[in-house]
Amino acid sequence: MKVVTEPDPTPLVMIIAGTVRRSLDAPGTKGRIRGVRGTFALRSLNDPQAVSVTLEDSRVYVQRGSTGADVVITADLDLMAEPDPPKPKVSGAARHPRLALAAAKLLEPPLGSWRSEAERFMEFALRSPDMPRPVRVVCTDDGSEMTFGAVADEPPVLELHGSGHRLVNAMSGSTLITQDVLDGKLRVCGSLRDLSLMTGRALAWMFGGIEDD
Amino acid sequence: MTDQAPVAPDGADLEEWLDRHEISIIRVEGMALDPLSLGKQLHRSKFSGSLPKGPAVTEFVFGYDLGGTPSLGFWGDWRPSNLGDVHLRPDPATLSPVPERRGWASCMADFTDTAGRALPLCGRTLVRSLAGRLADRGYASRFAFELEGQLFEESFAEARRRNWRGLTPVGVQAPVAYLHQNHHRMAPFFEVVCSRLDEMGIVWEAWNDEAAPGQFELNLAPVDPVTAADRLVRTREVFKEVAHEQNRSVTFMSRVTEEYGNGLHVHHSLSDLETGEPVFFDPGEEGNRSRILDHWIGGLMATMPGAVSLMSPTVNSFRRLQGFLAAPTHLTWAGDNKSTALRVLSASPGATRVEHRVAGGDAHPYYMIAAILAGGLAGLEHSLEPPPAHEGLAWGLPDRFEALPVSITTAADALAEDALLREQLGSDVIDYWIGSRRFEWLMFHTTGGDAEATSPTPWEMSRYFELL
Repeated sequence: MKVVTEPDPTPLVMIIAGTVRRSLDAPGTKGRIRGVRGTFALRSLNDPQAVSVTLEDSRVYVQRGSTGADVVITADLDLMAEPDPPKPKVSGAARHPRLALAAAKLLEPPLGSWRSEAERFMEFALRSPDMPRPVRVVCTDDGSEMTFGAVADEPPVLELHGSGHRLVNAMSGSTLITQDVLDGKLRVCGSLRDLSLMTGRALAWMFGGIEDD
Repeated sequence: MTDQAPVAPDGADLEEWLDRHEISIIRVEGMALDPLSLGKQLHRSKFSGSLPKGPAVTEFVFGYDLGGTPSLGFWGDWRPSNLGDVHLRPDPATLSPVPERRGWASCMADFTDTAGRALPLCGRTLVRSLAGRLADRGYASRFAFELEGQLFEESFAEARRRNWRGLTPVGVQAPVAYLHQNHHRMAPFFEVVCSRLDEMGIVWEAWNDEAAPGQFELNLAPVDPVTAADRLVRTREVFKEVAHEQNRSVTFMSRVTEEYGNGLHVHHSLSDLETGEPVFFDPGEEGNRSRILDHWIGGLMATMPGAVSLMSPTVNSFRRLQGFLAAPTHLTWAGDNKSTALRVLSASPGATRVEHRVAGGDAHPYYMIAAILAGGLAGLEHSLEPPPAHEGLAWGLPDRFEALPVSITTAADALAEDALLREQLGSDVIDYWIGSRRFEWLMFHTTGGDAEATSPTPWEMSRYFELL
């Protein structure tokens, strides 16, 4: 199934389109939503952000807003990636149970270990010559680390330190690395220049990993 | 960099000029990425001692947005890597007494790095560079702004307390313009504004009310492009200062209410650098348009979709560029037709000019003029021909007419694809500007802006009303 966004999409539209794409790539997802039709929406509890996802015969269409959605999920978007996020409020699930289940499936793609998520992100990020390198990622749970974009014996220009949970979120694009740094959830060692350029790649990854060119 | 002694206005010796005007404090002013005047107040001894480099300010003035958030996600290698300094190099020829502050002078400045090298992103430097390239071709240009804004009875503090809602426009609540009842009510404000402009040597030609609530227009006289932008910066400041002093508020946001938006039209023309004769007029050509003018229009038209971004810095800028709001919506030019993006007036040699009608009141005057000079230069260098002039009303057009970008993101996309503007302005400027505009888009959507709103949102009012 092709995931298509509205023209001139909002950030949330791009993020959710990317999330849906990743979910559809996971084994078994397409089979579970086969035959489900309708529109579900995700609304922010705290601000006007909203996105609608319409399941059609051969595509999934993602656009801003929640008007007319059959199932509406209202959630605190800032807390969705926390270890124990507050339960979202869901309306319309009783009348559209299969759609509600499909929404849950599509909005929560399976995530890997921090290592596998870091490998996926860095493989994408390092495609750009602007991405600083080498980058060292350190898991503070056990002190294990990985280095990406190694250039001979050059020391890393950027280091990211965080718990496995935080690293999974940041590397999968569930949260924005820089916001996690500003919030004290991740620690960073490097220049403002390199942090800014990595943020550009992290945003592109969060928006679905689709290159401009 | 030069070792020559700094020269004050009219070629005067700097210290003599400062003595004559009894100046003890100099306000050094520059404009970074957003259309805000930034700088420092310097003691006279510090000002003189700092020349030619001028005072240092953090390079972060190019690194945060109007909400004070670090603008991350892009970079320019002209920036120091870790929050170093840049300088504001004063242009002593622009010294002007500050009328309301005895002993103060204002001095416009260019941003440089710590070695005194021009920063590519400094709009003032950019305009001077483009004007220099135009001079290399034997031409001088003159620009005259028409500045629109809106004046309200409440002070900025009161407007803020009300969350920018329910404000009282100065003037009669009727959607008509040129109304003398409005002029009477606005006169106590404009008397002070215009008096200060006179004292600062900023030549204004006319002011009047306009059709939106509390809306006005002020026309500035044509001058060279750097001076035109300098004067626009100072003029907007004077408006803000007088409003503050009179317990009123004024804004140059592109769209404040459901009514018409605020434009920043600019008339411009070229003349022969040596003779001073206008070069846009040729009675032997169609419409009295010289070949130079046709190429100039050709360049402006070829680069207009990309130039929209450089003229429209905010999310709010695009609320004005909508159908039947007296602002252009399509890639069009014509003669005396105020619905097109370019209005080309060519009745006589001295009056022949192009009115560029895209920018809103919130535009960055240096980037706006840079975009025009870059487009015109591209037209001259590549001998670009303009498309046919638009006939009829240029609003509400069907799909076969090319629409101008409708959002800060589509405008940024158009600029990214514009090879001519990239050639003229350089990738440092284009890419950094695009990064900053995409960041503004991100902030709108993720910090409280309403993507589905069709009129100015509380987020826009809070972010732009007082600053712009």
